Amino acid sequence: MKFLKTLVILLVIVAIFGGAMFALNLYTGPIIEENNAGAEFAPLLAVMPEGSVFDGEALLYSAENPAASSLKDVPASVLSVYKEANGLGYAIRCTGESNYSTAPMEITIGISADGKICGVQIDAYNDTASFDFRAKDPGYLSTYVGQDSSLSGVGLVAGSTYSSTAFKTAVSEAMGVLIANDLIAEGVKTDAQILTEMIPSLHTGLTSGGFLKGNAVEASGNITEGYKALNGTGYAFIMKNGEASLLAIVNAVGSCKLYDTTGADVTEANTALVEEAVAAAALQDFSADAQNMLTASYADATEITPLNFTTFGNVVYAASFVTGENTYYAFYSRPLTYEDSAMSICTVLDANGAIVSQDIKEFLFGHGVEYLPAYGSGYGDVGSDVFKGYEDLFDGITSGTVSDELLVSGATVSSTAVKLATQDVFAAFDSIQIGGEQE
Amino acid sequence: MELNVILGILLAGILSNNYALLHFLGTGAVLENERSTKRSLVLGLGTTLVMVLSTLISWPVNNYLLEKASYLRTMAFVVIVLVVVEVLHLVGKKVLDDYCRADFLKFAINGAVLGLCLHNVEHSYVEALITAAAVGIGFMLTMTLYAKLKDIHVDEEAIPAPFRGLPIALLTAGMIVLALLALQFKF
Amino acid sequence: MKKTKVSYLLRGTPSALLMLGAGFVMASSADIRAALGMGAAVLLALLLSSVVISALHKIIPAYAKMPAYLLIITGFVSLISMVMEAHFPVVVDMLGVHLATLSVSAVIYRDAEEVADHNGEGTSIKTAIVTGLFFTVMMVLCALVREVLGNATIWGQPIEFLQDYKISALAGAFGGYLVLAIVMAVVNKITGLHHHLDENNDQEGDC
Repeated sequence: MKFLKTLVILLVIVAIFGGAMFALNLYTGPIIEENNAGAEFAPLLAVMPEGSVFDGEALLYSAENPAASSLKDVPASVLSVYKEANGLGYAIRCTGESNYSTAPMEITIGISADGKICGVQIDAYNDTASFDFRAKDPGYLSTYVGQDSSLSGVGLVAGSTYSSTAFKTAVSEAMGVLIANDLIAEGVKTDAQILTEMIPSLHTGLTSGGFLKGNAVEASGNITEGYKALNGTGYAFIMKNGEASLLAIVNAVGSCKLYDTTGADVTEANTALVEEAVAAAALQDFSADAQNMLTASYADATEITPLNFTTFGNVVYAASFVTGENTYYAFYSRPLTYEDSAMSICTVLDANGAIVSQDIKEFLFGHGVEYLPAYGSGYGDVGSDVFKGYEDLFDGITSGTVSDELLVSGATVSSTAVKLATQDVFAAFDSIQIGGEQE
Repeated sequence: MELNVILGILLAGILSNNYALLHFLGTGAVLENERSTKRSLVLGLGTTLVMVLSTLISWPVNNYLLEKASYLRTMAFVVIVLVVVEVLHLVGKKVLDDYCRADFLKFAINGAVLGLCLHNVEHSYVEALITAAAVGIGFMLTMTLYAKLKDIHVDEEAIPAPFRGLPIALLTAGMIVLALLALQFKF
Repeated sequence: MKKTKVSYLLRGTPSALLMLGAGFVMASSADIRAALGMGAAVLLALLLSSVVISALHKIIPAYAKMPAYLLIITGFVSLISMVMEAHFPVVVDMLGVHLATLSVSAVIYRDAEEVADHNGEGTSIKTAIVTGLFFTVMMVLCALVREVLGNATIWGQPIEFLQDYKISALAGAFGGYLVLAIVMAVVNKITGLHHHLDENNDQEGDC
């Protein structure tokens, strides 16, 4: 009886409150749902075109419950995928690796229905501010807008290579999900795009960190697109050849080569285009700069004879000279470094191709960041020799012994540039030697 | 489920997932505890049992019955905990008789049990049950530790008057929390 | 019961009362908004349940009181949290399960058992208001210290000049204990209602 009475009392209480909650839920339920939806979708709207709407069916994929999704091949970096209600596109939330923080960076990407990025933002970045590439290049994120899945128009941020690579990889993986599930078309590359992407591997003078660095040149004649190297190491042109397109590269002394979209050398067959490319290239003359730098170290150099070379790299001037009784070869190269400024390097090789001396100058504009700090007491400037200890590392090195030991951690961009330039010097030296033997 | 996952959950329940100390669930019940060590152990074991049994019932109730009415969750869980405690109380009448029956009724319904049931709906069923056992053991150990601390003679004269009682108990708990927090960082 | 300066405060002294609610006080004192939200929830839950329980305590037989009171409190807490979730989602987010666990909080239950069960509505309401306000004030005091010094924000807005000097530990669990202990000690000092040594000995005798 006691038990029954207790049960009745408790049931009455539960029933009364249950009813009250049910009634209250009629009022609060919709508000709560709206709040939750608003909080979930708010970051998405910021990256999508204006007028985008996300509704209750927007969520295509959630990492919390992958089994409920029809999407396949979703990488672990993708947190969730949403579909815009009116078919304007998709929004993806994903993560990118951080440098030192264990918490990843959180990214939201908006992708329009035609497969182009319409917005991208970083929601959380837990690393130290000095690793944040946005501080070094505030415009970096906006270079993603309008890109298709090939991401051909975006590079990396010098000085924040790691984090900007992580970011780019995350964006690329996120877009890969939509492509793998046939929601957007993969970015189809045009001939010009394929040829443009070949430039970094063919002409290292137009490259920094694996990416094309050049100022666009106006189209003229058969030239549809062109790039002038920032450091004066030459040009690259995309040229019409009937229906097809060819890539022409020109080095600092006017050597030219043509390549088709398959990467085959087609120079011999198109001499007219070669002439047009060379004529279009307004080459800079570095002989005065180079000789100044040379005579600063070799005051008694005589018989300075400029040499032609047929390689496409950072070398802009080559010459043989005589000092004492020996003949040496001097190479003046200008690799790109931090913030796309060019260094000046004068490398002197003996007749056997071993480095006799390496003179490095870096032009700075008041930035006290990342300039071979381990080897210099101050900041390098024109005429200073703060890199002496670093320069000495190169003595005696030959084309076979260029190694990663020449890289300086903490000055990755600068020392990588020097290493690349050194490799270019050896290549140029080889091309001179071959030329000499033929004579 | 792999053994190391189970061990990890169990260890976390005592250390990094310690409800009473780190999650502030059932903290009052632990701080207030002035029972003997033996009684604390029995009550703690009872609470652990309540946690596991409540999770055993509340998880399926939430996932199959309350899908569309999550606003009823708290009410439903409190009813479940109440029923579990009453049933345990009836079953264990003999054992508990020595240790004050009303005590168990009052004690076993605390924030840690309800909070655990609410947290556990986000885990899988098996994980939820292991977590319940782990948190229960952690709760029991913390409680016993506190009961032991009370036994140790503290020189009350040495504590400034305003800090006597609750403040010094809180500071002591804070020190234990610091030690537990140290285990959460990966070096 | 001990004679106190603070009448209508459940359990007589701040220290004894806070012991019961230490958990949710520390859990919701990392942010001023959370502290105010929790304060309001505690106050409302205390008020509503004491009114109902003091009105019903004669109808409910003694053997059914404990579960009945618990369910009444749970009902009110659920209703309050539903309204809060609709209108203050940020606060509910910060409080997490602590809002729901108010249902089984010793503070409200003991209030029902010790005050509402024996007294008329007048005394119950006064006790509920004084107790609720006491908790609100304590939480806001702790939150002021923890949010400003621990997080360098106030009401969620960043305080610029403090950004480089924040003591993150204060915003975490340890800060909860430390700040509450100090605030409690200050309150004890001011009210003079702290543990006296002789009193303590009496308690030991009781055991």
